Amino acid sequence: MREFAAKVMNGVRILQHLLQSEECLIAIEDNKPEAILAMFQELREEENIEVVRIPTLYPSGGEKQLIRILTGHEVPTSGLPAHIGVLCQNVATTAAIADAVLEGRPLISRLVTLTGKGIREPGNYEVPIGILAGDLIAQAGGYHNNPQQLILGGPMMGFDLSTDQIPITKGANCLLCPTIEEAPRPEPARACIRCGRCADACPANLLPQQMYWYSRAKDFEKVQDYNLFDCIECGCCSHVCPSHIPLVHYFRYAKAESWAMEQERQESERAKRRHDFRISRLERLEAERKSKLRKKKESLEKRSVQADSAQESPKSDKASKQAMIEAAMKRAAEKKAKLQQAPKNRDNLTQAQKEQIEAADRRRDSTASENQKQPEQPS
Amino acid sequence: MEFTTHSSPHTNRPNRVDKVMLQVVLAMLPGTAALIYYFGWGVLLNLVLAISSALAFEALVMKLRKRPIKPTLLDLSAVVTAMLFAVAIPPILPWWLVILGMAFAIIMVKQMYGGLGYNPFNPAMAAYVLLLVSYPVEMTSWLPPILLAEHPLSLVQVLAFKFSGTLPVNLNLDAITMATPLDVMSTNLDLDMMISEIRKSPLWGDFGGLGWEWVGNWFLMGGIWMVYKRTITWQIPLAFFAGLVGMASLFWLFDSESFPFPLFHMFSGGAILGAFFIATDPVTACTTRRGQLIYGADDGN
Repeated sequence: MREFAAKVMNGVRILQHLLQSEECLIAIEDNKPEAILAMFQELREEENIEVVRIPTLYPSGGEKQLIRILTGHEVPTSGLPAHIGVLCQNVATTAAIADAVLEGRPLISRLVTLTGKGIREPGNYEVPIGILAGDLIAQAGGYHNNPQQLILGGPMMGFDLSTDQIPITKGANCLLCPTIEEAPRPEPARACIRCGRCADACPANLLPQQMYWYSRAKDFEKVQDYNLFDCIECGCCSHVCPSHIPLVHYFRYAKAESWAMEQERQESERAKRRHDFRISRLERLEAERKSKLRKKKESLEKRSVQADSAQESPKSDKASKQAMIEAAMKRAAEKKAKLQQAPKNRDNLTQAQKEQIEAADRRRDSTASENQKQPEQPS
Repeated sequence: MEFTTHSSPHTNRPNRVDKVMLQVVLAMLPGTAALIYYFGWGVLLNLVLAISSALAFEALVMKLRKRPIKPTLLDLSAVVTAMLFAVAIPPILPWWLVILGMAFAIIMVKQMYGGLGYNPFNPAMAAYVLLLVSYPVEMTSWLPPILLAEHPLSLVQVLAFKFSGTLPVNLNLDAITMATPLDVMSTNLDLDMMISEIRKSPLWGDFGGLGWEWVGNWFLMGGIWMVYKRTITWQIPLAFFAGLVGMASLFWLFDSESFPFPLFHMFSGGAILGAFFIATDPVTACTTRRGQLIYGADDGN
């Protein structure tokens, strides 16, 4: 924001034009005064864009949390911000929009923060998308202080990488490489003492403790009753838990299991539909076969009745046979005539080709006449 | 380079169970010291007996359950249980009753249900109730505050009584014990005495029972410190007092000569201990803050 304030503002204007929105708020945490100043300088009088200073309180960067802070409205459970008429975008996204629209430059690089005492030269780097994390860290002086962990993302929500041989994607905002002192090994979890600090800390107003018990009991429907899917995995509950229970881990597990269950349910439903369809198809075929048989039987009966009546007039039968033979002969003659008239494949030829063909024809005719003459010579 | 992986968040955790328990122990110290000051050596002996036996029983159960012993003892939850129990029982309770209470609290109420976090009742209070029901005489034989005692007992005399049941010559149990202020109030009211008459007894201090009120004050300070440190939430104690004082005020306003002044209730018995240290036991209290308000008010009533 500090370095690309103008670009961000251009992106904001493009978005505002696209959405025809009435109001646009740019929220900046109050521990970033330089960013606030930079954005203020880019503001213009006539626009209804506002820069809002919000308290620095994790996780106010969460979409739903930010919307509540700015507008006081809550995004409904399992709803989208658009449902309450709000669209929330990251500054990096708006800058990328400005790049794409004004300069025609696609998203081929992004800013990545390298930090942690395990990296020799931490800082913000603009890197091409697709660079390997290991290569990027090598650019930043490489590892030191014997780090044990590499985190993609921040300390609260980032997930651990098992290797640095992975590419930077457009969603990678930070690589954190802490030493063992900065991010110590989690202690073994103790029993939950039901203190309720997790519920106090939860920015989504959930009851992590209840969700934890039901996740442990693998009662995933019950966990969903406690709005599991509103959990943004911010890590606040795990952070404050005095028993050091990895609550977020439990919730991720419950979510994954719920998804798997849902998928299984859909698949079994699809299988059931297929099975039902097959049964009905087989029944239909059987019915069709039966009706065919019945019709055949009926027609056979009819024909035998007709045959009985036909035997009474053998003369007319002979006459009709004669007529059929004549008709067949006529059809054969027509076919022959058609074959003779059928155009040979000599249309659309050049003059030279036509001449070649004619020459060939002539040669064939002459050899044929010679062949006819030859048998006469010995005699 | 290869790395090990863990689940987020990757932070130093600020809270620990043993830290929470240690804060409770610290918060109880002033009130406990006041109790020792006003009621003598018996309280201290109870504390020593209760804490050591609670730790011993906890270690025994963990050994039987083949679980690690050290982390369980170091979470200090057994110490908190023992302290709560020790300050709630009479100073001259025989030694074996203290140990019986702790055995019941730790083995039956806490560990049989699965240990810390799984007990359906507060172990200390369950043990207190068990003893009160089973040994009502011993459990209600409170000493008077030392300031009022005609025959204050020395350490040796307390030890002798607690372990062998022998009292100094010339003294019997009635001579050294005295009813608690709430008991006195209750019996005298039953005798149709006026509050103003009852208040003339030297048992009373400024607004509660003599000695008791200061024990209460020190526990109150410990409790407020715990709220300040966020060891406990303010909801349960506040609702507790609102419930207690509200109900007492209602009756007191109705007839101030038959019903004692509301603050008397707060400072004359275990109300403060109950509000800050017992009702707030996280395992058995409500989890949500709104639930805690309702629960606290109900406790106070």
